Amino acid sequence: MNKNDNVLLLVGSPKGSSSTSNSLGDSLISRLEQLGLTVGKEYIYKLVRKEEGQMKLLTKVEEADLIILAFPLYVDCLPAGVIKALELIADHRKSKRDRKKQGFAIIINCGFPETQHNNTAVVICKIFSREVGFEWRGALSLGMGGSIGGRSLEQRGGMVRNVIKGFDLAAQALAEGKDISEEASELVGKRFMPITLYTKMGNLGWKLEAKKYGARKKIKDQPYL
Amino acid sequence: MKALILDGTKSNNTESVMIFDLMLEELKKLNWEVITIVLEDKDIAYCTGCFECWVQTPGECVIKDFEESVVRDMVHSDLIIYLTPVMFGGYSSILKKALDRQIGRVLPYFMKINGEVHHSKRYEKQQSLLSIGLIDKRDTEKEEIFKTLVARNAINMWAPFQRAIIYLKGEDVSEFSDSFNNALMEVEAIL
Repeated sequence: MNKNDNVLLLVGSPKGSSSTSNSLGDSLISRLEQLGLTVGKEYIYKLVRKEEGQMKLLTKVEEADLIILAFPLYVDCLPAGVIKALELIADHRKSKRDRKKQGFAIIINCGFPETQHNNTAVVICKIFSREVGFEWRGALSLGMGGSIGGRSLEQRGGMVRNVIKGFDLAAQALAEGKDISEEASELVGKRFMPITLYTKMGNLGWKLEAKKYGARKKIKDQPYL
Repeated sequence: MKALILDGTKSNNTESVMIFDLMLEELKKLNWEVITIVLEDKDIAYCTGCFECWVQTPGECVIKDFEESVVRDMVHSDLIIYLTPVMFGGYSSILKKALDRQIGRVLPYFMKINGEVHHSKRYEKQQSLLSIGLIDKRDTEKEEIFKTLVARNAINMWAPFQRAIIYLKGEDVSEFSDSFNNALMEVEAIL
């Protein structure tokens, strides 16, 4: 890529700026910025609801040379708002004859400890990229998203050292107009901790959260019976 | 036997209407009690990712809109049927909006199923899942990933039986009809 090229980060979490998708996306685009690229960011859920926002989304996507979509896994797939954004982009690009060369990469995280839960969503994004004529640059796919909890990778420290290394490699490759390497993807996909520890901490975390609302004893309620 | 059809297609699609009507006819012939929900017409907000359906009002979303009725109908069904255009190998945003808001049907707690971590079930009664994907032209990659997505949903939502059926627009409906009927018979066999 050239120094003047534009990178657009699309944050696909409904939680917006407090989301893990946002913190991961920021980590990647701040590296790209340090490498001399111009970066911008939009929150998908702020844009897709109304026509004005949808037009803004399409304009921003059209202007970008590299689009990075960062989102959480929702029910084995992309969240509905993100699918809506992809539908809008696909419809818009059908009518365009002259398409400039644009790269597309994704960052996906899930709350399960295993990264493989994301695989279906990654393929869906790859098919989208092919359908709309973007150049697929690759995926950074993480499990254990709950342990990042919207904080920056730097704040999470040593636990995410492999993710940091992977993001460094991915940023370098993307800045040079290359695909994200397998090495970078593998580093990012490495577990932060043993699965048993993550699930135990997760299960305890839900109990503590429910306790805050006075719902600890109601957590297994069956309201629709 | 209760079936719930969630129609995630757009209203201007004549072929989806034809498939919808055909399914309804077949289900009624086999004495299924059917509830149909055309999602495009319904006021359903996006999931906000707050997880309050797990920790504040367990099993119920804190947003009060039509989705409450969708989840209630899901819980009382024996079979849930999705009807959707195959979008990049997945579901339409119209259908997915309703599906994102159903996570209160499972518990937040993690457990292993076949060596992989998933969420525990909230309700004893579980629903089989049939997903009908409409496609404009043959695309093996899209069709395969659509089937994988349905199978993954079935694991996470504890469906005892799952099947994805692809209908290629313009294709003879008798083949679709046979596949649909076969799937219904398999669902009935485990009830």
